[in-house]
Amino acid sequence: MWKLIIKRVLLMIPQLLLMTLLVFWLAKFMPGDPFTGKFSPQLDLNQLREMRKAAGLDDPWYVQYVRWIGNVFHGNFGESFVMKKDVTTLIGQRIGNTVMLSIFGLILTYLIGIPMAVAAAKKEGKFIDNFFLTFTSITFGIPAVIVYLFLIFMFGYMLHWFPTTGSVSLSAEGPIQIFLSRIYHVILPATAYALLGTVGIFNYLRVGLLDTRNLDFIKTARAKGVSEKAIFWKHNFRNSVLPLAQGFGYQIVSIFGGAVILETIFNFPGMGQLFTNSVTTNDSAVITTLILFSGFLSLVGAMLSDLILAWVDPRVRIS
Amino acid sequence: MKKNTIKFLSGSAALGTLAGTFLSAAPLADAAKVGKFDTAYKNPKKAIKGGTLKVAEVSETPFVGQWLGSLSDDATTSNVTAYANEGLFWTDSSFKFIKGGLANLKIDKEAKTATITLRDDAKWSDGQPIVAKDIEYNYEITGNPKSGSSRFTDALANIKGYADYHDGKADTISGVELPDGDNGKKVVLHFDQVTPGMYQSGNGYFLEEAVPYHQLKDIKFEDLAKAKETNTEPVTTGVFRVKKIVPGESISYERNPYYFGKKPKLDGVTVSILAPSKAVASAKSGEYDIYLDAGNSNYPKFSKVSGYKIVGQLDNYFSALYYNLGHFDAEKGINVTDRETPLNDVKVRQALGYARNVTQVQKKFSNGLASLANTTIPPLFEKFANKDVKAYDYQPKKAAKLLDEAGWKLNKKTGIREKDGKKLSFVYLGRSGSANSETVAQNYIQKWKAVGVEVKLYKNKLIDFNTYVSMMTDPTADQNWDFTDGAWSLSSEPSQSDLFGARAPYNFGHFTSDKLTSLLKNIDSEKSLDESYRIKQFHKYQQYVHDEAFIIPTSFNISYVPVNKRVTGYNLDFGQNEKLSNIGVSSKKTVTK
Repeated sequence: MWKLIIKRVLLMIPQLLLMTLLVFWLAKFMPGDPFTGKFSPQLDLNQLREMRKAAGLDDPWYVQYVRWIGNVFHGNFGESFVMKKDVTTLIGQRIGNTVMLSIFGLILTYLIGIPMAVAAAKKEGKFIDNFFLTFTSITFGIPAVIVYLFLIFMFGYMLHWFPTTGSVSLSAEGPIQIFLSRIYHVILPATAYALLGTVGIFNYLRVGLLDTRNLDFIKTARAKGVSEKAIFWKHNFRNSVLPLAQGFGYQIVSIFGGAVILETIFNFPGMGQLFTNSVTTNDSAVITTLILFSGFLSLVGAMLSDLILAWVDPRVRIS
Repeated sequence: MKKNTIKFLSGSAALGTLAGTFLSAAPLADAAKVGKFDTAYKNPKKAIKGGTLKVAEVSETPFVGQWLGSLSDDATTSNVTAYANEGLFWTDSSFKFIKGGLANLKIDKEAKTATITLRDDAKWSDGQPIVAKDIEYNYEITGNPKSGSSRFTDALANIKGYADYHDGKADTISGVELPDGDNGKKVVLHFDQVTPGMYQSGNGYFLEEAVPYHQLKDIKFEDLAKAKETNTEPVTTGVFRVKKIVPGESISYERNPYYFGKKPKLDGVTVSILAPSKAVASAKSGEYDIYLDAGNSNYPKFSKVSGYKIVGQLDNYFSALYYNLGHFDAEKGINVTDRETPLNDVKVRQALGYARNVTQVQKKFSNGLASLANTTIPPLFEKFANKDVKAYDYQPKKAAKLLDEAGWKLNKKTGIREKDGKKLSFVYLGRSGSANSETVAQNYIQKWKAVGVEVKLYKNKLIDFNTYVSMMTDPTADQNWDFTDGAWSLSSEPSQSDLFGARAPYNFGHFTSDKLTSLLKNIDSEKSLDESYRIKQFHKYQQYVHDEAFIIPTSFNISYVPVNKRVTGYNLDFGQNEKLSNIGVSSKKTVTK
């Protein structure tokens, strides 16, 4: 197992370097720069040129790349030209919100998705199965934006059950109130995230449960007189859940990445919204750092998924 | 010379607001009405004691939240911080400085000085007195490159010794004098020259804010932009002061007990960022009292939401069609009108202006929030705007006649005009940005085609704002285009040397002439210290812009604000120096009917 981990970590280094190179090179093709938005006669064009020069934007891209990667190795990801703050500070302000939202979303996704799949598999072809199949088809097909807006409209503006914007109430005072206010603010977006996220879990698990129940080892268990309950949970469910484990590594790291559309629609100040804003404002230092971070998370996610699979499935370890 | 607040508008703002026909010079006669909008909401109910005004700033992005004006260039931040930030001077409805604010201003033409005298009772929101050093320190921050301020301009360099300070040749600014010392109440600014624009707010020749030196003095210039003192713990001058900030999201304000002026009716204000997609639904549920920057596309829906009154005001804005007539010589820093193009003939330029049907486009897309512009001076400058100048309205026959006179004869086979065997064909650098950009551009192209002019889009597509800016600011970029759209949000000092002067890098069309130079100079000349002379020069300038047609004015705009019907005393008229103190609410909760 350790060999596998070391191998995967070492493999990540050239992958990350290649990715940073690609990101930087492609970023050079984007029109404009972070100073483009400052375009106004109040800004002397000579001063604009000086600011660009001072920021190193006049250097060839590879010179900028080498300088940037050198700083990255020292933990310095640069400064946002738009927000005028260190990129690490900006990420620090947002990542807590995103983690809270994602954990809630993830827990809700599994809490909803697994019972749905189990209920549907147990009652295959019956009303409950058809109902959940229809429900997941709709949530899979419908654009996320519409669901988010509908939930905001219904539970935010019609019923006034949940706040519709932001991460914390202005009136919250003290750490406990602030914490509770933060949780209150993530309930609606996390539910929206979960409602749309169940489709994957539902389909994998339902199909797994249905396929596994006809396999030989299940027939053997039944022939031995094992109870149906034990067959389902100890044999069928445990085997069927394996495909989910495969994606679990990605799920864990996605906690940190942020949901771009969800956070943007809910005006939720997380990593996803930061990414949208930095692209809109051409804030290159933030864009490159977030893409690097996202790439790093994907690689870690892939590694974790493999490790989890190797842990739960001895056949993978042996191979 | 540079002005303070002119800002080039991105594609969406520039092209997304074309529309409406109602805004002519006439409605301006009634100060309380702009187009179909009242400029103030007169609530028949009386304000209750206290209450909190809930303001939504409609924006896709969070606010940056930089409280120092010299380090901020973000309009959203300016809107959300306005409740606690008050400038040094009060102004009248024409943006001229008047007495009564935190400080008074006196300009001495002969001595070439401006004396700023602070009120004796002027205090910061933490109770400390506002002193002369607070004004001087703002100049030091703005002029020191280490602070990262982008606001140092050659207009400010008109203050003696300021350029030397900016270039690191001097430790202090010799032209900023504190006759009574740091803790005095007087600051004297010494200029190289006094100009007529100095009597108007937003002129850019001096700064109109103070900064809390006692709070900021130990922070290095390079750390100012990141400091908590300038981001989340500001000390301010306005009617309200900050109670709490959730960075990027919302701010709550309470009364500033040290404010010198009229005590506000409200106990406090909250301002929150709200996504445009949610704004109308939010209003239907009565979530906020006021929706700022609600967006033109939201207007038809907002106008139907019960419980809200829509008030409006003229924008300090114009958009125009720019003809490419030359190039910018970056080495000499001057525009040269030397391009070989059929556009050199003024009749062709005029014809292209008369061929567009801007009014039709505005009717279709602007929801009544724009009108055909007749000049480059928006009508809110009542004295300076020349109402007698005719707009380039839709007159296809006149356009055809002008082209005939210019020698461009119609080839009936192709439908395109020709002269000496050459087709009358142009490249239009159209900009993307709004959902309607493509439709609008194609409409113009069709109208030009109808009078026999072939127009193709630059590289057969609209271009994005960033590419556009790169092309406009880099003289070495591809300049093979014939006309483009420009849109500017202007300063409250209306001189346009920055936009159309021979040395103006923002003169995208590069048109210069002795006459234009002399008109622009006259506007800023010593003789123009006499206002009636200045008005005449402005009027002549606008007529010249129309006659020479080196640009064709396109649009003036109106901005609107939905105001909940519980709000009292809300007024968008210019020169309302106590408007924040006058706002109140007539009930504890917002109303939905």
